[in-house]
Amino acid sequence: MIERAIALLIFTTLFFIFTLFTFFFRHLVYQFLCILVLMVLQGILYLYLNAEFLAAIQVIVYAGAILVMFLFTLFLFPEEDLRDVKGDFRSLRYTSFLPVALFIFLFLWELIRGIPESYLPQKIYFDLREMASLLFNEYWIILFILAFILSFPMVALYVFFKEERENGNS
Amino acid sequence: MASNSHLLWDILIILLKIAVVLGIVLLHAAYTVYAERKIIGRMQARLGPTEVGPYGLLQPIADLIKLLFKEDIIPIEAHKFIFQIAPLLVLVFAITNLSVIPFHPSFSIADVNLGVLVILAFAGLGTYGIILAGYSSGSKYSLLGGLRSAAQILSYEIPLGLSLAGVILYAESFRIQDIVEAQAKSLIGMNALPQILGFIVFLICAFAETNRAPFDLPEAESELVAGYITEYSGFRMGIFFLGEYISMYVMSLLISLCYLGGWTLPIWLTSLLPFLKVLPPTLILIIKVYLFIFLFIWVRATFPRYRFDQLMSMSWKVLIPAALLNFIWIALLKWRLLT
Repeated sequence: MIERAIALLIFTTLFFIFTLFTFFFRHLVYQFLCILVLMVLQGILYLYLNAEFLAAIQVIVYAGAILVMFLFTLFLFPEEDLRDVKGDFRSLRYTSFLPVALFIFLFLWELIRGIPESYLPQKIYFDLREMASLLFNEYWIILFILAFILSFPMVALYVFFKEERENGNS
Repeated sequence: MASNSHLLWDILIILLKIAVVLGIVLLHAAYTVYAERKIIGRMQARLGPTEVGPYGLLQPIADLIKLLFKEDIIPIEAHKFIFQIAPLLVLVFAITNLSVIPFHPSFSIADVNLGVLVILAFAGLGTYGIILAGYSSGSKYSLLGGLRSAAQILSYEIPLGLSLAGVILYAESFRIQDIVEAQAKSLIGMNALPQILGFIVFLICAFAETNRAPFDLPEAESELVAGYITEYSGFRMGIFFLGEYISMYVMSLLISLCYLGGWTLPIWLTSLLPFLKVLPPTLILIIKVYLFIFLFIWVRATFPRYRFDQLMSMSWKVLIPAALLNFIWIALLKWRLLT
């Protein structure tokens, strides 16, 4: 049981690390590789929910087929277009300040409050389904804000390409 | 304490199984290169390797030593990190496939319920090694090889999966042991005859998935120098070759298990030739695998390479409809058997 929990901790940590890497790498192929790792890690997390079929399909379809098409498209770009993605971070920085601050405040608040007694620690730490029900029932506001913050990379990509298109037109 | 020792014992057993499988398969892969050179030599009225050891039997070892001590060159234009890990991706995923393949009714490293799907998943991931090697080399020949590989694998994975769907439907299980048992219980004793269409589709896709001739377009030497391995040298090139040969074994094992009854022989055959009953199951499987390995070599020596447009049309216009027809046929057969 404990080895399952340790492995789950490692996989979820890797999940967050590679999500951040996807944003911080300045080369589209490296960003793609991070997404590939994320797809495989997502498959592994499905295994923890006893959804083996879904895990296999996740890897075969998303990691094995759809991402190959993504990569195929990336190869059609010249190398200069793939590296050093430029863009204006300022607008993103200002808009992201409030939700990030709110997230940190709520996170600290919930840490002080602690986990409700109705959830047994053993069940939460060793059972992914129990952990998910705790997160979605008790901490849904934090999760909602986190999901909002994690959507910034998508907004950022839009900003980057909008900037580039405008520069190209001028 | 007792559970800890039990866990350690389990890990030890698994490590031992991995060592046995890896040892046997790596030795087989090395000597398949020798067999390929000898057989193709004979087909082309040559002798093949003769100099190193008796009948040239030590040639694979000499080749290995040469590859290990050759200079490992990384081009200036290359993406160093991706260039270095690409061969490992090919090898690791090819080897990982072996973990779910049963070599005997009671011997497999991991007895997985979704064995067939796991193999398809790892085969799909292994192709990233080839695609990324093509991109990271910083050479246009390699890049074209990578692009060809991406398109080829994407196109041939669909008929491969569809042909396997017929086998899965017939056995009503994704577990390879169950698929073999379902064949042993059937009247004909193998899936290859009732699912002849699926068998042919799978066989053709196996050639394409392993990048073997006549589907070796990603490394077509007369067009792209050596395709995605143009810039590779030394042991990294050796790893690519090792990965390719292990993939050949994985595909041969999968065909033998899913279409030829694996370690079992059809009842009609054993009643005709009763002495075959004494053959051990692993030997039966190995003989079937060797037949397919010989076929891989034979085809390489015989068929010319396809053009890329022919390769694509064959997948989308011929193999996918054929695999779908096979699936419908098996559904009807199953329905008829059930009613």
